Amino acid sequence: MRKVTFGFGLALGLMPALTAHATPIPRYEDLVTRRSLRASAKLPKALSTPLYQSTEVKKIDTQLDLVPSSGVATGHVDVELHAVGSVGQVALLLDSGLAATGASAPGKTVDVANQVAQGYAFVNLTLTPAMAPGETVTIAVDYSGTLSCQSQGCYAGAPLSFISENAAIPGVFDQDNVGGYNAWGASRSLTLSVPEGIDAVASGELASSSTAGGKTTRVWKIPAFHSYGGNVVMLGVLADQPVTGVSIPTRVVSTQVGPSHVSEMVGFMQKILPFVDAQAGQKLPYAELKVFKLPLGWLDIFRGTAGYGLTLLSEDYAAGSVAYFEETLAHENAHQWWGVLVSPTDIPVTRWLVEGMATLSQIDYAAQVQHADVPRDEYLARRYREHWMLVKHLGDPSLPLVVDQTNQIPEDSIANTLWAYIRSSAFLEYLRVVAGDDVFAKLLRTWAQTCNQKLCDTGDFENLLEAESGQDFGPVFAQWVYSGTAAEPSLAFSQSGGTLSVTASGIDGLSVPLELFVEGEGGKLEKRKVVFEGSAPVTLAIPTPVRRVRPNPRQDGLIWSRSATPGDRDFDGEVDGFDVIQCAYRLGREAAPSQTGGEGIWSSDLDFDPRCDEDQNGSISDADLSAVSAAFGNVKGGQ
Amino acid sequence: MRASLLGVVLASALSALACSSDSEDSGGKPTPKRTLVFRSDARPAGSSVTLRQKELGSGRLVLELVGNSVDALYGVAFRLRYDPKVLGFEKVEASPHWGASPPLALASEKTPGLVVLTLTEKGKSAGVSGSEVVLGTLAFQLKVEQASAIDVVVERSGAVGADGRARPAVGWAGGDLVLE
Repeated sequence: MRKVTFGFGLALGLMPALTAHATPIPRYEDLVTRRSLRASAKLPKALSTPLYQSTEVKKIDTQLDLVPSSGVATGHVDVELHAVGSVGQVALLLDSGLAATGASAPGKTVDVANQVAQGYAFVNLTLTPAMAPGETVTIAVDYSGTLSCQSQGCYAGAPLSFISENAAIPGVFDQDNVGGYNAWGASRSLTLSVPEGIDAVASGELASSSTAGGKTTRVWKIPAFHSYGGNVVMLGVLADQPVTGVSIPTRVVSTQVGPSHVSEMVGFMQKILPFVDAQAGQKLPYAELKVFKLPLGWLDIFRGTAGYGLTLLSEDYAAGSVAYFEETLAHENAHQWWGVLVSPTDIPVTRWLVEGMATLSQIDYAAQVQHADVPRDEYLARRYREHWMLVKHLGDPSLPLVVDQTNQIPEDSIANTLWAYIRSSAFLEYLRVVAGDDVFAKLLRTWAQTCNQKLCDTGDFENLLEAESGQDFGPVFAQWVYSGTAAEPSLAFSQSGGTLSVTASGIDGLSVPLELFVEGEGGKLEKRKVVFEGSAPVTLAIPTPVRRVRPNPRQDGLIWSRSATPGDRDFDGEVDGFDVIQCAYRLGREAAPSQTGGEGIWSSDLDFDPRCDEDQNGSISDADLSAVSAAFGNVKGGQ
Repeated sequence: MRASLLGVVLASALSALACSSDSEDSGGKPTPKRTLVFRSDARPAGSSVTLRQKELGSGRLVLELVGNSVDALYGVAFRLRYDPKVLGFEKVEASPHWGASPPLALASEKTPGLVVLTLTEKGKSAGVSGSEVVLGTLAFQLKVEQASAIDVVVERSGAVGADGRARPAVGWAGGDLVLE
């Protein structure tokens, strides 16, 4: 058995678990002021397997008596452990104001040592004799104290408080410093007693509720499967409204004080839930979905997340626009599938199938529901152009979507967001275009069906994609999932004898599938799927005259294509007035986020066109327009 | 528009009458001297961009580019085709009706007989609106006084609105140099 001393080293290992909520896209303005993320822990990459090294946590049953107004807590937890290797130590994580008062396990002596660090209490439990490989033991621990809420695991305040794991509800670490993730497969039950009159809404299914002796006791249960969805409990004097006409019982909950936006949220959920059901191909498997509106000002406390049957979102997200709040609410509810019910096991080294997927769903919702009057292709292209701008000017396209080690995950919060949400969703949109909308829609349904409460990861997603599409995505995943690169092809075409030849320069060494829009002289658009292998031309049988050849712009978030003809922004191989007008129209526009009247994820100017930014400095200036003007008149002979 | 065209035609006719005794045909009969004029093609219904004569003489043709029933017009991109033996393109100038200061007016005649043109606002602008508004002037060298067409290459011409979107409904019309 390895001897490990828990404590500050353990604290470093804890952080990814604490921050691994399925969350809305952070606001750019907030990230600018707080760019540093907590250090990442070093966790192994495991394919289709849970993240157990020495200890698998099978069950966490917590009983807690809490007075929210004072923070006085008395608790008991039964933790069922299964030893993969020899296990002599485990640790519980609690709020720093709490401490274990005793522990026991059948056939074992359990020594308890409390240690406080970084706002947490680490309860080190030493088992004698050590658990043998394959042995299963339930450790019972009593704890008590007064919550200090100096960590991320709880907040004491009026009109709303919350508690979650690693605070009033114990989290579990094994002796390999694997915290949080190793308990993802555990079943949870929470028996919570609070003074009568205090309402509580929690993740999990409400199994019972009773009042006696001035206390209300509620029991919630979360089944055992690998998931983001641990215990989160909101406490206060609450109000709710039912969401009628949706597939499962659903209600919107808020504090009685300041219940603004609740009626609107009910209306939003009547649109969001059918959308989520359709995308996953099935309704959510909960007895009830609770949607909690967190009050204004909670952005710094708990901006939103999704747990088992519970979606939370801070009203702060409505500050920009109610429409953006609505699509962010769609994002969080999409996490019920992409993060809670389908929770990839390689989550320590990637977020693309959680945050990327939820961002894809968010933008899909905006396209399908909020902007149904705009042609879908056009809307999606416009939204994903922002992803090009953001990654190009703020991000790092060379960072793989699945990194080798967690310490490769950006600690800068802007870079992290661009990796987890922006570039990931751009890659998913690219996959959708290349695989086809219908194929991808079926893939999402299959992914939800196959991996619902199962152990799946990036490799499984790739396998399903290839099975559904019949295409080999190995090179694509090698280039952008397991490694990273910017793809900036320059396209040129020529036509002779009914054969269209298209060349993409600037992508030597890459294999780039693309859907091309081939537009005839009469304006007829034909979509053709091709694969560029470096600069080798691809040929297409097109008997009618072709005016322009361009990639489907929905791919622009990942594939930053341009015409090979300088100054030609519309891919007809010419520089005429249309190119000049479009760039003149964009004069003075900036690629940076937080533009007045901006749209999209970070209030960008979605009319910014990177193809008019000749010097690629993120600003369309007179110099850029002069460059286009200088090339003006470069047209094919005689036309 | 129509009034000014009538004026041009009338002036041409009077000029022809005034000169009618100056020449004779081979049979000794006097024949009227014919005058070269630019005759605009029929104006398309609805919003359109058309050409009309401003100046013609001394080896030079100046046409006005006219926006008819245009609303928030941001820019126009177009191509004109003509007989290079008759005409050679000289320059384009934007009118003061554009909001940008200065607007962008570009022309390129890399292939004789084909000029590529654009007139556009820059940056944010409400665009040009009006029932009959001169957008700019196009000057040609008149090499030979003979009838010839000036055609808009319609499939390569278009207008863009102040919302940045194409205005496919805008029609185009060129015209002809004719001897009257």
